[in-house]
Amino acid sequence: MGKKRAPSVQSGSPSSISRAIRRNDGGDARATRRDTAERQRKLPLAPSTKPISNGRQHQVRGKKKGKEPEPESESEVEESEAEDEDAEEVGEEDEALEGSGSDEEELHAKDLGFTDDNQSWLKMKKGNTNGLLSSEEEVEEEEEEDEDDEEEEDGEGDEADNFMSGESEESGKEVADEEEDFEVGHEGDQDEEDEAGDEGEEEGPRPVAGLASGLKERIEEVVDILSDFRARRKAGVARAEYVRQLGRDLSEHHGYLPELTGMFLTMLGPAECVEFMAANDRPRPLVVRANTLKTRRKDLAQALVKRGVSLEPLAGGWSKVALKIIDSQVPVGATPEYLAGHYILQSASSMTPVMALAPQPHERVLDLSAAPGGKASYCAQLMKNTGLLVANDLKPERQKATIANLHRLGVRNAVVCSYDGRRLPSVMKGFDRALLDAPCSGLGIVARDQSVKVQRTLADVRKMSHLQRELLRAAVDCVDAGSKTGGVLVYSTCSVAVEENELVVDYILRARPNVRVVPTGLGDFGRPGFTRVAEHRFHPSLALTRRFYPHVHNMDGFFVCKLQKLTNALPGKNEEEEGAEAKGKKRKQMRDGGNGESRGNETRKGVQKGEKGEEEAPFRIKKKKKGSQPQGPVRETPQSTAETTVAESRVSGQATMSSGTNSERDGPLVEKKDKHTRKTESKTPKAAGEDVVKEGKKKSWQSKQERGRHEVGEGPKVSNGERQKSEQKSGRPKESQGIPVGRKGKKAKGVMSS
Amino acid sequence: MDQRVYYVSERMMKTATNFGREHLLSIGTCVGRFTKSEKFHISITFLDYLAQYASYKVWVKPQSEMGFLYGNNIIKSGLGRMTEGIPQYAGVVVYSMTDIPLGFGVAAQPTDVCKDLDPGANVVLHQGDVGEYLRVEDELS
Repeated sequence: MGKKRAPSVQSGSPSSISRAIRRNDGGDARATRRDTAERQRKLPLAPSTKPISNGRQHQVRGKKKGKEPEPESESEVEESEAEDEDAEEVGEEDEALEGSGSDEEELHAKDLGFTDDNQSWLKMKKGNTNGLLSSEEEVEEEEEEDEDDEEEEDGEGDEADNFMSGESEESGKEVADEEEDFEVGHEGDQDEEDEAGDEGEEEGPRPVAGLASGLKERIEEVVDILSDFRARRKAGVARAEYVRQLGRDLSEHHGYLPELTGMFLTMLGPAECVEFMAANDRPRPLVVRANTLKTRRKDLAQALVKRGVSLEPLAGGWSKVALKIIDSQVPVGATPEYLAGHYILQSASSMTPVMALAPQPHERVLDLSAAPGGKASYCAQLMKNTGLLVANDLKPERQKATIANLHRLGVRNAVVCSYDGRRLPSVMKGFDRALLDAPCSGLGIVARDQSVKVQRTLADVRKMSHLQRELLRAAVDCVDAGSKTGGVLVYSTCSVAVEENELVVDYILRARPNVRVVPTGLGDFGRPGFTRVAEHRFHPSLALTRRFYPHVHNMDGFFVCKLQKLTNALPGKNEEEEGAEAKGKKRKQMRDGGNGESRGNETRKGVQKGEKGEEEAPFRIKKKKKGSQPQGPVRETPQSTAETTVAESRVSGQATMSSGTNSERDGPLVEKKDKHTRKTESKTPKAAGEDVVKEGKKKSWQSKQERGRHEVGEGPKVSNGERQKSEQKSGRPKESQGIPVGRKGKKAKGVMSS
Repeated sequence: MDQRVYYVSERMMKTATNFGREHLLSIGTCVGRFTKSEKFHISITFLDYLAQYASYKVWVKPQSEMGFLYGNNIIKSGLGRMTEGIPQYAGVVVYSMTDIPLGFGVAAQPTDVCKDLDPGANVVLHQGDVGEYLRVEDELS
């Protein structure tokens, strides 16, 4: 219908626009913004930048001509012409610029895209104006106003006075109209429907019908609807449609790539996502950490106050060394106290992983990606400058900052090196604690680096996730489970993406069954990690990890996970030998026979399996088949997507080399493992119950497992969901289920021979 | 490659032999380095130890702290107080009035001469200051 009307509209449109201008002119900033936003919505969303820029110009103009009264009537031609004249004044310069303004109305239409302020640098695009004034919009505009005017006629006399109220009334009425639509169905307002239809034809994504027109308002409205979908939805509109709409609006409003918005939406839900994004546009407070190697927080606070810095202890009282800088007369990063190493600028979130790690004096601590040394120096501080701190980072040039920081802060127990973190296990092992603050996409620190919004893609996130897995595996391998005081490691990222956090930890639980998630020691500070999000289902212990959000904690988005390594020997450590072909197999069997029982250790699976060797037979056969194939080691990991293979095979090479000594090393370990087993069993009732699992159940489980293995080995990859399913059926905890096939098989074999 | 001297416990040193030379960037505390003409220069990174054992000390007034931290000499007007009996050209450690070590240098004049110097004359010639952590961070390693 819009199309039909177009010609008649064409003539009427400019006046309506000028009216629109007037309306804006008189309005307060908010009203103006709403108005322009409204127009934006009606415009095609696809060329999103154009409407925005136009909207801004309206605002500017609005300010300029602020006193002009707002005419609401549109029926009187005279008035509209008068308006045109008024507007013309403003547009004069534009007119000159355009040069082609014989017809007043046309002129106005054109100069809409300009303001005097921006004239110097703005170039008018033909398409711009056209896009802005697409006929349907105008029709819509007019008609809306017609309706309003009929009711507001009386107020016209002193519009200047009640402009504000008129405006709000108007918008309120619009909403009311829309609500009516909700109830009546689609009968109510034909125009609107038509308009929507036309838009759909012309531009790709069109807003869900019946929503507020302002970007911000619509976001609020959709969030509201989604919060009680059943009651507030418009009939016939799917939830997905609302979510999509919200995603589009948020992307536009906050300037994120749509795919990132989508990710946040799935992860946080609509209401939180909106808050999250709003929080990302506000700066986080500046926080410093007192260096207790050289001073005390109290003394430091006094010294800084003397220098004209106003500060307070961090809210929440979870940190005894952090100070929040409220305001400062001097650069906080260049005071004599700073240079003397009494404090370091460190975001609150960066302190949490070190607090979780809780390094003790006289330990060996490793920081895999240390630069620029903030967390490493905090470690040294907690270790009271004793023991050994290895601060590693891939890039030597980044380590310069680390070295300077460590020296400045008076850290004396640090060794600074630059290895690829993935290689570290081959360089040095036996650390009591390890900290992996993994390189990440930085989706948690958008407030600090706005470029993240448009530069990161999901592909980046996935890439990072892969690197993080490799690094975490290396970190686990570096830690000595036999440490008297430690044997723990902390994984953290400054990202909120599930792919970089829970997924990585969930992976390591499967790739290294000798680790488990333990409470971070941060108390109830922070949100628990996800155990289920979107299509993912993680090990329940992931609830022990901690997430931090800008909108909740006023910190950078952050993730902290503390892991404990229970044994040095992997339950499936011989997996690596698979590559070593059949020859090695016998040797392995023999060795496994020696400590097969112990190998069961803390993953209770081993305990149950240990009893019945025969049942495992199928495994063994399978295994042999596999082992005989050249790419044996590749198949072993469930993640045998090309990513992991390289590192895996590297590791495997290593293990093979050292395999000779393994059996000796395992001697003392046996006892320890048993201890662990006992511990876990007594701790978790589930585990305790598990040794007496009935055979039938076991069998079904095994067959499932086997099938799963098939899928892993031969097919592309078992989807998480599938794994989950089989897990549920078998009634097994995921952890055990998720163990890479190769390892299971091996273990089984070892058990059998015992 | 310049030759640096590090001060570190023997145990740490032995542990650090795990790391390859080309990957090992720093260990313990850097004392200083040998110049190309094989003279030894103490680095600011060693200030903590120097400050701990210094026998000759100089304190600067708060208003001239920043001047020293930008690499300038300490002049008489900025001098807060100094140890008795410093001989000329003896190494001194510079402190702020709140006893924060800020750097080190050599005494331009013996203590008793300093008492009646004119306000613009040098008292301590600058050798190193903690401002280097910002100014020349890259040269510290």
